[in-house]
Amino acid sequence: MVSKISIAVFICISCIICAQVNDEIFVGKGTIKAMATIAPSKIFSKQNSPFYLHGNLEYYVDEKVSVSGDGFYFLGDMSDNHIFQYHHQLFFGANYHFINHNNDLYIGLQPGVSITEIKSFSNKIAVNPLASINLGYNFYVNKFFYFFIQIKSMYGENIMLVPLNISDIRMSAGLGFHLQ
Amino acid sequence: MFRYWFILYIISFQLWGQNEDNKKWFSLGMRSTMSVFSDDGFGIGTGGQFRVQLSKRVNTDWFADYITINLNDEVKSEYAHIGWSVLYYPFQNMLYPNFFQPYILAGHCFDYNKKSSILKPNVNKDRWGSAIQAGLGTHLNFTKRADVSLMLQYMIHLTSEIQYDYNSNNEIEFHAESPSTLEGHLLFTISVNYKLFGYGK
Repeated sequence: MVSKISIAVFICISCIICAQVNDEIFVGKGTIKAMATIAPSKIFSKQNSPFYLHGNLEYYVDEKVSVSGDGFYFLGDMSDNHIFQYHHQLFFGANYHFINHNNDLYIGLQPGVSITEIKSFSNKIAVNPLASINLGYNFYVNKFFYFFIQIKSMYGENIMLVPLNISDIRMSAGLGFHLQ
Repeated sequence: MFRYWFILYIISFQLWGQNEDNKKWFSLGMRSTMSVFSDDGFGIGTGGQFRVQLSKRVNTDWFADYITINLNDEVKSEYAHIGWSVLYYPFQNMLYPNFFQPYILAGHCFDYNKKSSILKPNVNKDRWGSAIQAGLGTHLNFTKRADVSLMLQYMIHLTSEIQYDYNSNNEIEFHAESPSTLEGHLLFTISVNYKLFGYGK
């Protein structure tokens, strides 16, 4: 296990060093990127901690603006209080980027919807409108790979059977792929 | 055939040759709407819009959104709006591509409302209607192509409103009431928009 982590850290450091030596810029207008990762979240109103398979597809329409679509597939809840049968979400919006060399800090807005079913005896599905704010950082290590971290603050309410404030904060991090 | 290619070439040449600041724009965007003041209470919505600019000082917004509101943990109120607004930019010195681009707006929309019992969703009533809206807003032009728009508007429903009360068995019942003067909701909208292409002079 330790050796695997050591190898992963070594690869990461090597990529970063290579990127700095090459002195190339790997992000800009026309960049298209995609990623998938596991995203934990916290719903503060009920102290729930759902986690998701998070997928993202993003296109840079110019040096500062990208359009971004995100999907969150509900996988489970880390808390003891399991209230969701499922709680999937889709978001679409735009991010504004502050790019410095291969460092890419961004903030964005993404309206979205959730498709939610609360655990109960009925099979009532609610479609809930959502609003969200993104704050994140990407580091482009070479022509194809980048590291990312994103924090997303989401606002919404599930109004079906048990009214529930589903606003949460969630975090995603990992390795993504991009083309320019 | 050559004639059509030649006309297309001339049109393309004219479009490319224009100063971007003087073009009219077609934009696409997504919006989050908050219903912040109404008989129904606070609600949140999701939608989208496109914009067709008519002149330097006049724009049009064509939108659709879906808003849900929780009424006292008893009733779910769902609104769907499909409509359009005319945006007028009143300040000569704050036109595109100035960062702040304030505007006044007025328009019309088709309005669907469904109210249902939260505990018993099969107990519900819906209606189609019409509404007018007017308000204020501003574009924040972060780049020449991308903007965030903030908008506050009051929407007046021109149709019967669905109300609810409890019958003798303490069960929710819905019924339609005639609209009272200026009944509607105050909507705050934040949207992100991207100018896809320019046209005209």
